[in-house]
Amino acid sequence: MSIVSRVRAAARNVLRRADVERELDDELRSYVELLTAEKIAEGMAPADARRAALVDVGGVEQTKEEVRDVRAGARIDALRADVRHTLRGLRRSPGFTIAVVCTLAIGIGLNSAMFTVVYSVLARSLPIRDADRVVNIYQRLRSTGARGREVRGSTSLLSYDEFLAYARVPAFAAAAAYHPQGLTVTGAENRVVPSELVSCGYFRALRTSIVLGRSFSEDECSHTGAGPVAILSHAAWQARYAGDSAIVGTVIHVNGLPLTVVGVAEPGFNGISFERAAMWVPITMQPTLEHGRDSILVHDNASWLTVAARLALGATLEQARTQAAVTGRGLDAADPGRRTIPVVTPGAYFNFPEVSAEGALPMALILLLGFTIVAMACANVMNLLLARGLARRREIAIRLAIGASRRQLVQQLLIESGALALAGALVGMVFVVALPPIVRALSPSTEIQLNVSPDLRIVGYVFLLAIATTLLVGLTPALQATSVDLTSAFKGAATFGKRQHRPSRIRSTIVAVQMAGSAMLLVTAGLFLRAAMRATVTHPGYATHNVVAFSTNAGPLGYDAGRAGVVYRALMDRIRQTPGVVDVAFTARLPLLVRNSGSVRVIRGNDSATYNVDVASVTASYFHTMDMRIVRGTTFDIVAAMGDERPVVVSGSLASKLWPGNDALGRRLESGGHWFRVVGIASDAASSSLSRPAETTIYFVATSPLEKQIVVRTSNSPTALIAAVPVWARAMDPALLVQSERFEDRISLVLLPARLVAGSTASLGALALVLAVIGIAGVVSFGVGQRRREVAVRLAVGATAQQVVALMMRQGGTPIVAGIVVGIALAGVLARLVRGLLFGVSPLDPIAYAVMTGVLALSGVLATYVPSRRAARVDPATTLRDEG
Amino acid sequence: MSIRPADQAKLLQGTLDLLILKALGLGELHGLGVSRRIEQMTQGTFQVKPGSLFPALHRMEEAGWLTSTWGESEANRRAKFYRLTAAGRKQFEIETSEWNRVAGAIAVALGTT
Repeated sequence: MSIVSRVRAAARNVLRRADVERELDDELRSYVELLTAEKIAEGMAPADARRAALVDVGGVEQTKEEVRDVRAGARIDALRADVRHTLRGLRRSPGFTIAVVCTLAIGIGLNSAMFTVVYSVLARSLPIRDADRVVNIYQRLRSTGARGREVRGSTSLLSYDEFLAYARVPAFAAAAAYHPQGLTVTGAENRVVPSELVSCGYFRALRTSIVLGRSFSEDECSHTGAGPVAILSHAAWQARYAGDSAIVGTVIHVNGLPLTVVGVAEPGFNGISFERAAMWVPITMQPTLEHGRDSILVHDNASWLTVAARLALGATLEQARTQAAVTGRGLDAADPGRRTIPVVTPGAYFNFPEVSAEGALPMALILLLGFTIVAMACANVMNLLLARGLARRREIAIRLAIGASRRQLVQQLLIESGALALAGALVGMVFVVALPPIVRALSPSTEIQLNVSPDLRIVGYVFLLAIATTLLVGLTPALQATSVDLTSAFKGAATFGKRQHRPSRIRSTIVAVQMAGSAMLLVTAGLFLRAAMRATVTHPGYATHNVVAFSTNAGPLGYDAGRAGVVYRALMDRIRQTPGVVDVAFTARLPLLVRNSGSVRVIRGNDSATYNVDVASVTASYFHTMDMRIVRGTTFDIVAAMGDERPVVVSGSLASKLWPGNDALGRRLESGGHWFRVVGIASDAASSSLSRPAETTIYFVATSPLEKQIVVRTSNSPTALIAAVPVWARAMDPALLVQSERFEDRISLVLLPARLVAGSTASLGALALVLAVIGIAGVVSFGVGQRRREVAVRLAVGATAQQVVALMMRQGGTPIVAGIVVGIALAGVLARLVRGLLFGVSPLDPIAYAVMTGVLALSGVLATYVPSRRAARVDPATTLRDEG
Repeated sequence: MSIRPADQAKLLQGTLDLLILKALGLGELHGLGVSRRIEQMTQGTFQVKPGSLFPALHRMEEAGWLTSTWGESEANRRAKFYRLTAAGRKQFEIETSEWNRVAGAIAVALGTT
């Protein structure tokens, strides 16, 4: 049988249905006429002949139906009829349809939105041409070798020398190194421009075109300071220079240095860092831009560059990995003791190894929440479908009786759930579409480029989710609804055979699942709420209120330590004299958000041991300013008495780690090639993370004020001070920019994830609980209806109303208790996994569990009590007479 | 002798197809014509009712074995005429040899008792 002709026929049958039908009609009419004519020729009277002919044909409509059945595409036709029938049915019960579509829209929509966020953060390819051929190169260092490695940002980043080594890997056609950095542009107005220091092949490797002027030349990366040039983003060119093409060749002052603008990048390109870049400068300018104070460029053992490479034509990721491993071994050979594992991954924003490891948990949590929501929505819809199936028992029984096959009915019921799921998915797309503006509104600055707009993959995901939902939600109710015992269904009475107990059992299971889901969500919410509260309530080891830090652009402006010292001392004096100021100090940074680590070595007997510790660089008054205590010894005040050895203060936890069981005061330790003597032991503090309240921290003396912040604690709100300090600074040098940061804001930022998780799990948990309560009430009232007779008998033989109510409540009780127990167990497991996000709150925090269990149990009792009360109102006489 | 509807339902699909192909082998016919030709060829053994005839004709046409055109019947009435295609002729040969093989085998089987 020719497939071509079948397909052609099917297309004709489906698409030109009216023509095909008319022709069939004509053909059969002509047949009857011919037969009539034949009979007339045989001598019959015309009227008789026609009647006889029709009898012979034996039903024109039936014949047509049989022809339709054999036609190609008959199944498509049947499907179309089923869909039409389904849509008619759904239109007839708008309440049910709206309820189901909305529930599924919330479930699918929220899940898809969460998927979009995770996908966009972890897996979306970079916003450049042929992004699928671009990889990122990182290194995991098992051991850093004899020399300590300097880390700026992430340990897996590369040094410039390492970048040059990997760039020679044959599988890479081109490579780009970049380092995001804010550069100060001075002129008519001073501002910090988010920029990237880049290798000179950056634009070529990313296939970004330069729309005006030229790209960087290789000469500009030939040696330190070789390229005093800059390229602007199209957006910056438009916004800052009014799109004037005379910009090419213009000299601008960046960190006090004259750089020539040589080009403008194509519109829409903002670099490939998470933060939007507005300007690019050759990487060889790094030491020059830092006025020679910080030459990380030539530091061949530093982590500071993100590297992207474009695969050569025909090269595979596997080849690139193998070849990069060879390069890694070469680096190890040149540096004894070093163990390098190169990591080559498809290009994306957040793919460096440690982020993938640390970021995986929150992302998994988000996805888990997403799937819990879909499961909750599905459970609820399944419940509704089961109820609808029960209500349609008669209809389904009739259709089975007149010859519909069970397969046909199941297919049709699945079409119904498919239509509902698809509608839910379409409405749910609102969440996905609304996501970009929401993220834009929520993100702390517009400089972050997180693209959460929907793409084909996301649409595909939503579609797959809709199909999965259809099967999950529809299959059980469809099988349930079509396994009808015809006899009892037609009797229509509330007499249920053994099989008909099943719907209520399934519904009980669903209720248990809903209870478990809401229990899990609510307990999680409780834990995170406790974490957020605890972190703000308890003392993390330092003052959290009325603390503000001021930083300036003195360094980028080219101030030397002497000039900066004069300016800073003047500023600090004025601040100290301001009423309400408790104390003021220098620090390299405020606690939290960033971890600044280094290593210290101590000698114990003949051995030396090296420890990785949190590093702070402060002045003597820092401890008082931050409301920390020196528990033993002193702060740096008596520097002179120490002779050659520099003084250092260690946290109590570090003291007991380095010299367990011994007094740490006066002990010596080595760091960065210098020897230090411990002069004081400070109280423990959460210096880098609220989850680690007793960080092992070492406090060095801040010598130069450059790269430091002025930190101030006031007795009441520092608002006036925040306004005043920039004015004082400008009075000293018009180019001086002062930025202030309230410590409260920093803590809020740290707590944001916990608060977000607490808020979202709480609201979703509450939603799930409402759905569960409705489900429970439904199951119990169904049971009450079913057992009216039994209740009537019990009441007739003397049971009290309370006993009957208790009996009815018990049948709702089992799924509730089971659900709560399972949900709490799941929450316990989940909480252990995300312990790191709980700021030290125990994953088994009794208060969170007790409160939430109470809420759940109370809701369960209410949900069973209200419908159970109906049982007590059963009138034995009437019931037994009517149903007996 | 005619076949009762219940038996007709059991009429092997292949048999009906074969008979239709054979009937049309001699020239184009309309639906009633096919029915009459089969009746005549089988000396009245098979009376094909429209309920089996039309589904078969349509199915075979969709398979590409037959084509149809509207034309005038002998009694000046409009009718749809069916004609064999090249594929149909080939199918006829295949089915004929298949039938002969089956019929021969069954005849042998029945003869061995």
